[in-house]
Amino acid sequence: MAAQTPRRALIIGAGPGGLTAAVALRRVGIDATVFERTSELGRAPGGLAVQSNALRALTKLGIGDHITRVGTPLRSTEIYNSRGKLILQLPVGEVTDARGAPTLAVSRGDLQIALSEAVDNGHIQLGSECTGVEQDADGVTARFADGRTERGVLVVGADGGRSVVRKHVYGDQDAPRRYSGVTAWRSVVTLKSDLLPVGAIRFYYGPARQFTLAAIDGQRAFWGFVNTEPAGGKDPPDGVRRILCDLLKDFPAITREVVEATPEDGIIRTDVYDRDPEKTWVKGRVALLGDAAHLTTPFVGEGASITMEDAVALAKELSLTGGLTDQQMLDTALESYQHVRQPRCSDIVLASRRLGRIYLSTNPALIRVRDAVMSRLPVALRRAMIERSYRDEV
Amino acid sequence: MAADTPNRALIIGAGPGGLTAAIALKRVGVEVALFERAPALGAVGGALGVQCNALRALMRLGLGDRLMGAGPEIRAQEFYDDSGELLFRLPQGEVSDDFGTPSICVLRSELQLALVDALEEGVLRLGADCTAVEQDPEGVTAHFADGSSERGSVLIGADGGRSIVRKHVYGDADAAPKYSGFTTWRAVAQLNGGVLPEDTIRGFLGPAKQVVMFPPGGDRIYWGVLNAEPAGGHDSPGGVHDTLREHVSRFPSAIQNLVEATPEEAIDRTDIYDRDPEETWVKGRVVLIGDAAHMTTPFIGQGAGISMEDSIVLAKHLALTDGLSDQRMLSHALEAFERERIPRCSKVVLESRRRGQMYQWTNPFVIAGRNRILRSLPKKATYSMLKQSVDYQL
Repeated sequence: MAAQTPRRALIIGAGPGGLTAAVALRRVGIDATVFERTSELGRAPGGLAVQSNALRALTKLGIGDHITRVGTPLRSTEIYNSRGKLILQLPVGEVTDARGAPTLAVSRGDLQIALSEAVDNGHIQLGSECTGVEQDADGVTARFADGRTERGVLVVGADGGRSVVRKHVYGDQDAPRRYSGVTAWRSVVTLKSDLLPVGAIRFYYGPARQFTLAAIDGQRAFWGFVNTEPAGGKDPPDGVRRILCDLLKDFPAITREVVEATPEDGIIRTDVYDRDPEKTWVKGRVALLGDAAHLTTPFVGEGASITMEDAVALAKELSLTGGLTDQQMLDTALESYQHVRQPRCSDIVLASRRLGRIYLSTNPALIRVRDAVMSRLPVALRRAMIERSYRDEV
Repeated sequence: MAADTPNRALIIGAGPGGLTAAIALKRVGVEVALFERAPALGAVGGALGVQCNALRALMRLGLGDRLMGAGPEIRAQEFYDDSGELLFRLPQGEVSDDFGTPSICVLRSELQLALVDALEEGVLRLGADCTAVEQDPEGVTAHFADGSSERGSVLIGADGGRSIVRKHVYGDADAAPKYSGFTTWRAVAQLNGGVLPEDTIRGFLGPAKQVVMFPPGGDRIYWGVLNAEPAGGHDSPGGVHDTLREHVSRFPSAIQNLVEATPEEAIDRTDIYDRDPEETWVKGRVVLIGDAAHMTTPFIGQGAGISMEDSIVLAKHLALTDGLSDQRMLSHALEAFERERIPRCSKVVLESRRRGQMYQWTNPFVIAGRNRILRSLPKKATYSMLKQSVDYQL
């Protein structure tokens, strides 16, 4: 008989999900290592909200305070029309105070570093580009671009929307990603003065486009801009800011100032896709989490957060296997993981898709109704809007 | 505050909930000590249905196969009127098949044995009668009748409907249990001879009376006679059969014979109580599970099942804590546990209570009406009656 397969989990991808999975799996007594394609941590582009629900999940791992240090608690979400008129303010602070965990604005890079600090030394391998996964009765093998292979009893595919691990789970049956109709540019910018109040995330909605802006701390802010256009477009070298400012010409000046203050080469362009919800994210010894399982558009702002929830939920279920010792228990644990998470994540994906349609509409009548409704929402409903995406936590 | 015993759980009570908790907590890396008042194992009488949801809980610990060998699979629950005419049939087999796990019937002693076998040596201490619980910021102490005491970082009260630990959690504010209106006589009879199919649980509904029969395998029948009467009644020695003869006089002769053939000393009399759902089961480092937290009547056969579910969910939440020492992390875990479990258990308690009330009716017209409705229940209704009580996948 061949040498026994090491009772370890191979986590592919060092995004928020993969790193949280490493912390959580190691916490419940599972030997887990992260394999990341890029060769340096902290360079992930743009910023995001670590929502209250995700911070609570991280707090259960004892790393809530550690992550809070790299972010700024958000007190309010402000939605403006493209002319700069505030049409809706959501009392995020009031809702999260009651929950004991704030929603944080962070840069992706800082979040990645902070999460990686919570993983024991030597259990993140950089420059490891997974090219394929194979499984047999005893274990699973991950192959890497440099020819190396790693062996374990479980692979966690946390490798994002263009997941390689996903190919193993769905094979040729996998449905193509669904283009959302928008392309996104995003970055983190260092601002000279206190251009922005700390503690608010702002959304500017114009017909067919949207600009997002949030201070990360006294100096930095993250921003994102989405514009309705066909997929596959490219920016000319050294012309991105000009193009964006042109698209933003009817938006409040602050949006253009922020773009102008950002170095050209710091702006990342991506086409925004999502996927229809899947029934299963698991095949044998391989489980998907985060965007690899349920790619979502960013309009609910829960993408990274539900990914971190996935990781904690996965660890909870795997904890009962006593260190991945028994195949049958591993099977039932993975089945339960997907059973617990699937409704929650599908809900977010579909809600985000719906919101995108409403926010990016070009229909003047719909925009008028939308803005009129939003500007008259009673406080209770505004609170309910926030609470809706915070519920069902792990 | 850090505990002086960093990672030790004291579990009071070795019923299905306490035993399952001991196995599950050990599995997730907690040091466990389990205390049982009874001086010896195997003294528990009677049988129970381990429905698919409960068997699933045990599968999560790798005990599914062991249990499935201990009793027959149940494919139906049939309810008759007292003349022996079929009223309705709960399709246990179909519900279990859709759930993905069978439902079985086992002797309580078999369930206990299977769970005890899975415990590690030295975890269980028999003859340990917990008399009081105290806690301080550094830990929790259990005092026992023999004058000894034990110290831990968390204490789990799994000591049943008359729980001592419960007194610590609610103090004098605790509400008294609610009498269900039914007193029950129960026994395992050593005969079958075609009285009851091996895959069927049967109930017979008479005015203010009910008879149930379970097939725990091996030609045995577990039977129960329920009579609506004031709580606190007693049988005179040698008079049990006289009492029961009267209660079952209108039921089919097979039932009368079954009762006659069972020796008096094998028959156990109990008043059936439950409790109104609580808002919390936690006080500091002390948490209640099972009947201690949510005592229920047996009318939907979920009492032991939800106790075992409790244990699995508790272990999953405690798995994420970095040891049990840190009071804050422990509080987060216990809070999350009760938030997940209180809705489920309250629903079972109240559904079981409603069912019990329906069986107590004495007015012949009301009963005739009830029976007419029960007889005409569509298949979809009987399916969902059962489905809603098992619908909790761990």
